[in-house]
Amino acid sequence: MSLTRRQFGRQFGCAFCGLAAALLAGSLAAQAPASGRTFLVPGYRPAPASDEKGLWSLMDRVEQELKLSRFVVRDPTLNAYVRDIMCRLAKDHCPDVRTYIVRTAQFNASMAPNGMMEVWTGLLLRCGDEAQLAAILGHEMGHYLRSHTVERWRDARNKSDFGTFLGLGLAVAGLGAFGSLAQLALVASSYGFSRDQEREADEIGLELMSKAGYPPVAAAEVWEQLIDEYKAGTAERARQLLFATHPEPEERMGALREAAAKAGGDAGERGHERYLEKLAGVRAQLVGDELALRQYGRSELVFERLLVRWPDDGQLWFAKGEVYRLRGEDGDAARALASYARALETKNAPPETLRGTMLIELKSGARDRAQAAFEAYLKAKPDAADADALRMLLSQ
Amino acid sequence: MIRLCVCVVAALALAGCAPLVLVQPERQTVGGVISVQPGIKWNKLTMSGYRGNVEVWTLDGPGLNTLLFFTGVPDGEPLFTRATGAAQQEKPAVFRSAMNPVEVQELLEATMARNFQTTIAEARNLKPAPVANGQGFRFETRLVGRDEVERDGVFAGTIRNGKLYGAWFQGAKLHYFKRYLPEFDQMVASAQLVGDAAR
Amino acid sequence: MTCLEHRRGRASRALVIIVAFGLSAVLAGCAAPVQRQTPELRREAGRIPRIVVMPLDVELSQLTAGGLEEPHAEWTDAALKHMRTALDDEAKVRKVTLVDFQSERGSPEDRETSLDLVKLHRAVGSAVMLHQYMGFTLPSKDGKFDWSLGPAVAAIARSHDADYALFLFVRDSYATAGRVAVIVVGALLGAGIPGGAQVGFASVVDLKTGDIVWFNRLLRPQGDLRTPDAAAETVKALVADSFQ
Repeated sequence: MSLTRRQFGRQFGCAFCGLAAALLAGSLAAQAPASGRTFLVPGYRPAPASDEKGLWSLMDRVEQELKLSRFVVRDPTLNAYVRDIMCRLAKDHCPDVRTYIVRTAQFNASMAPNGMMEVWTGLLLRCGDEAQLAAILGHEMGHYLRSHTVERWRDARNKSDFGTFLGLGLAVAGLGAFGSLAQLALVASSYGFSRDQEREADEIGLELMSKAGYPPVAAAEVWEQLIDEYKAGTAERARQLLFATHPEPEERMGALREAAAKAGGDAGERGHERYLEKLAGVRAQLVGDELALRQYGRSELVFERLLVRWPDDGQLWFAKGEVYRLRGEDGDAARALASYARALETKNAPPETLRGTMLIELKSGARDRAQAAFEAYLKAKPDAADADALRMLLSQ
Repeated sequence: MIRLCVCVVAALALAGCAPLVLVQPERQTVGGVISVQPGIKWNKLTMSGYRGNVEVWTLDGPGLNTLLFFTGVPDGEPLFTRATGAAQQEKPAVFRSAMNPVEVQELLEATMARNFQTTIAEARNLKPAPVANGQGFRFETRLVGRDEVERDGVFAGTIRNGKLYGAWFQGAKLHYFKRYLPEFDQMVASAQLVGDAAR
Repeated sequence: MTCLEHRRGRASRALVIIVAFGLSAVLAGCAAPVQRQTPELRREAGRIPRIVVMPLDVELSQLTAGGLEEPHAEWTDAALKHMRTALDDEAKVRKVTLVDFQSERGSPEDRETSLDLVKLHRAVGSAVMLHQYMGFTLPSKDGKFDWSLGPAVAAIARSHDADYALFLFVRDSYATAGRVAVIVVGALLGAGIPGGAQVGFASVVDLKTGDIVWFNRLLRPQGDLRTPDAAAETVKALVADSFQ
């Protein structure tokens, strides 16, 4: 890790261009009203010694740390894919943006003022196709292009209200006493935008999407799915978190649907098959991460919804089976077996489907069927690391 | 500047508690149910942040290694919980008396993921093992928390009379786990169930 | 012990945070600031000790009127620069060679191990602070200082051809004008309001064994780390007699 943290992020293709852009941005900012109606110029840099420069440098340091994080997904195919979509949306701003995929089983994407974009794997799991992913990336670009985070940050400082800015970050990040305060700013930057700011980001996102050839209606779909999912969770706090950070989601969804219809509706490329293909390397991990949270209602909804789009996906049927097996309530054993059986009818059932089957059969006392499933599991996965463990269960 | 030694521990001592209590290398009864013979001195945490049927010991501080005793987790309870400061959705996954060792292994995985807010939490290499004069099981864990430090771990336990008894030793993979693994192994070898657990 | 068992973990963590950041009085010393295992660096066969300067873990923040810490990039950058310069000056005086840690050096495994060691040191340093200086004593240690990063440090020794590694950790916050006003008013009303805290330590690790052979805690007041002089003084105080 370099000691010179004073990094401006990337090479200037043209030093004069960078300077000119900064000056231009500066003068535009001077003209603009406080609502932040300026559109960020490609290659923009904040003026040195400005407060924005401070925030920028902070984000640069966060990015340096992020690069070294264990939680960053480094799958080259997936990274190239996400970067590609980002670039098509960002157009002239493409060189200013860097994408990072972070392994967290929650739905989130955020973009820092210095062009660093973070996409969480929980979001990648939930997107039904490329267009939906593009919708989210476009929305974040909207916040970035209108400097909403800088706006909010300035606002918070003026009102001595930095606590609100960081408070949400604290709630979500939960860092230890000796952690990095800088990281909080990044997490916080994805929450708490005003209704106007969210609407602006939505509008810009829709425009970027349709220009890049995606159906704008995908944006409304994403939001609808998100609302459904939070409703499926019974925890009151979950609902509050969403609604605290996104004012009046249902109203927003309605507005989004209208705007999407005006912007081109469902005309455009979905990227349905391509999305699945590009995620192939990480999908099993994403499914496992979601299951590990043991939020059965939410997970069931997510997998069912994905199955509507990909009805013959063995991995999704397996995932659904696992939800039931792990939940273990009345009737779940039968539900799990049904899902596993359905998975086995497809072309891509993971071998673990047989493991799940074995465990369920064993629990119901059907030893012979459990034995058969175990043998089939070993056949499908001869190097199964848990073979001994399962054999132990059968012998008891 | 007043240079008083305003030690937090002094204040706590006034309140009648110390955050870390010495555990001598002689036979100990943990939670009234697990009897073990440590080979070296340990430290017991009185405010560990772990809640449930657990007791927590450490050698170099909980940031570097922890030994969690499960002192009879009953049906319907989680293995443990921690106040993590994050918005928790849904109730935690719970132990069931009818669980088999594979399910206990999966449960600890989920418990780690939830309580340490991480996706990098694995349990593997489940094997049968003698525990407390009876049949038990043992498996390894791997965890990377938000502090980005990788931690190796080992769990040894058994289910008796519908409750889970066991011990889970975890330490930073670099140095702090391997160094004390032999001590953990010999403690497990020495373990007996006593009191209510022995009935 | 039943008295605190029902306390929420959040409270004990908050306690640690308060201790770490809010109460400068607590940092005023429950234990000697400098701990060492071995008094001198090895100077075998006339070889000048090579010390790897690990990435300086420094963060300066602003304490706002509302009592919150806002990370301040410019101050941090300035402090880092000044401290690095001061380290070089110290090294010249004490006849050691300083080498910057470079994450790209060494084999892929060594690189990864080195990175893990940096992360481990944060945890170890925090543990030393907590258990040696902040009163959460580990009775099993019997007053011994036996903290270590373990033998994996050989990765750093190899990739940088070095004998020791130096780690520096500083978190410091400075009151804004608004905050100072709050403190003054508070004092008038008889309430003690924390003005911002400095937490810092330096450690020297023997790359043969991984043992921390020297550890020093920063004592307040060291002055304003945003200025070159105070930064230099801080570094001097931190490394005072480590490079012998």
